[in-house]
Amino acid sequence: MENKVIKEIKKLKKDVSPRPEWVTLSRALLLRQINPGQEHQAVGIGFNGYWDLFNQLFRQRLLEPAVIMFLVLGVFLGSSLTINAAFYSLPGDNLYPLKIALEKTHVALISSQEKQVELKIEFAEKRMAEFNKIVQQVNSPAEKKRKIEAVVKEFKNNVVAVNDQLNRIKQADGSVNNAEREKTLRIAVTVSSKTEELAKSFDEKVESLSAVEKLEVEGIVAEAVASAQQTNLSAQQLAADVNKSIAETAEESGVVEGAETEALPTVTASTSTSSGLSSETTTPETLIEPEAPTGEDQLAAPETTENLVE
Amino acid sequence: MNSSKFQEKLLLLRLKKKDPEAFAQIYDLYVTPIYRFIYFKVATRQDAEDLTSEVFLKIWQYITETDEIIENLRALLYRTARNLVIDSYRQKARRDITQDTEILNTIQDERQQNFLSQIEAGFEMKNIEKVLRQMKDDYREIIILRFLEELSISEIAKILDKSKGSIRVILHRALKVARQLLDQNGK
Repeated sequence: MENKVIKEIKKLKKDVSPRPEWVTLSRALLLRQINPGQEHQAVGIGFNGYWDLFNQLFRQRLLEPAVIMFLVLGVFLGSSLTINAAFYSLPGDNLYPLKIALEKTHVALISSQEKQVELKIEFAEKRMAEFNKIVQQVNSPAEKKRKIEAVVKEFKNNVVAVNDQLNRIKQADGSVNNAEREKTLRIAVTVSSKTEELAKSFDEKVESLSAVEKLEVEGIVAEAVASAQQTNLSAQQLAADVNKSIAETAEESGVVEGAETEALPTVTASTSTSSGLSSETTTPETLIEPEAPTGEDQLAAPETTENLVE
Repeated sequence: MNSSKFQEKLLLLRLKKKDPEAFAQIYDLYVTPIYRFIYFKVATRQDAEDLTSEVFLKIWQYITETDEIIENLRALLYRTARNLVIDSYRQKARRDITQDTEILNTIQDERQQNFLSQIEAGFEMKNIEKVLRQMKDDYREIIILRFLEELSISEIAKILDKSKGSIRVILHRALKVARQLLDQNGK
């Protein structure tokens, strides 16, 4: 019944309307009344007008808690998605520089030198994984070369950064007690083994390329491998120095016999957990070898490393 | 935020800058609904036409002079129309009697008389229109705004300066009364 009433009322819309002639006449009269001497003209709204309009329409809405939450969520989700996309990007992709910037930020946010070195090594390993992906996924030879060059360059940067960090540790050398020295030793051992692994696997990866591709990237890969080996040598040098000072300290304190055997097993144990190395590459004996290679021997580094291991 | 609301805000801004074209556009948009709204409140078409013109004139004066930000142009138009109708009845009443306390009763009486005279003059009117004219002013305007002009409850609340809850209650009662009156008239 109520619906019937409503229907009837709605029908009135057609029946009740002003006379068209009155509408026109009244319009003209009103316009003449509000604008007698035609002094007012049509005006543009201008920037200020649109700004007022924006304020009226959206400002209040923008300040509503729900809208703010929505915006925050949007920004958060958007950035998460971008970061996620950047995480899977390869050299040459638009988001790749973002990935590298994020990695640098990650390192900068960490205060522990040990963790920083570990992270940098991890990033170098990531470059290796990217290299693999490029080799498998990219078909166009020109693009492949460009991307391989980019990734190898980035790998080299990572390895050089690790080397720099090691040099800094060496120079600072504020390790006054054995605990500090053991920490430095642990870093050196990790770096040494990892860089060696990286250099080796890089060589292997390059072997898997076709002859033409190999020829194209040989130069840059050789440079990267050399950097890795240089870092490896620096790490071994640092390890040897640290071991030496540990032994000296032990001698001074009169526990000559016990020092070496006490300090080194700790290092071995922690090294194998932190880096997952095989014992044959990082035995303490290797690290305390007094004849550590110098920077001049870097090109013959793999052999030197082998000698040290053996 | 729908486009008509945006358009309305844009028109308001231009009107504030005394743009006659904006005024003309507002007139074209709202002349019929405002006329209809007034038509059911007054006795004659002539009154409805005069008052409708006056509404638009008042709106021009108000908007171009005030510094207040107008949130809802449509609500402002209906509120102005409502006040002008009340004022017109007060003026008529003042002409006849001087007792202020009797104004409201007089308004009611006068409208009833007008209505009766229209019927006597053979003024053609639909059944539902008769029903609406027989109803209390509060009920009638709410029914017109809701079902004829299809305004939202919150807009009606703004126009009549009441809460949404009380608008719903009045609307419910008004529909009930309309149904009863329609039944009576049918018999």
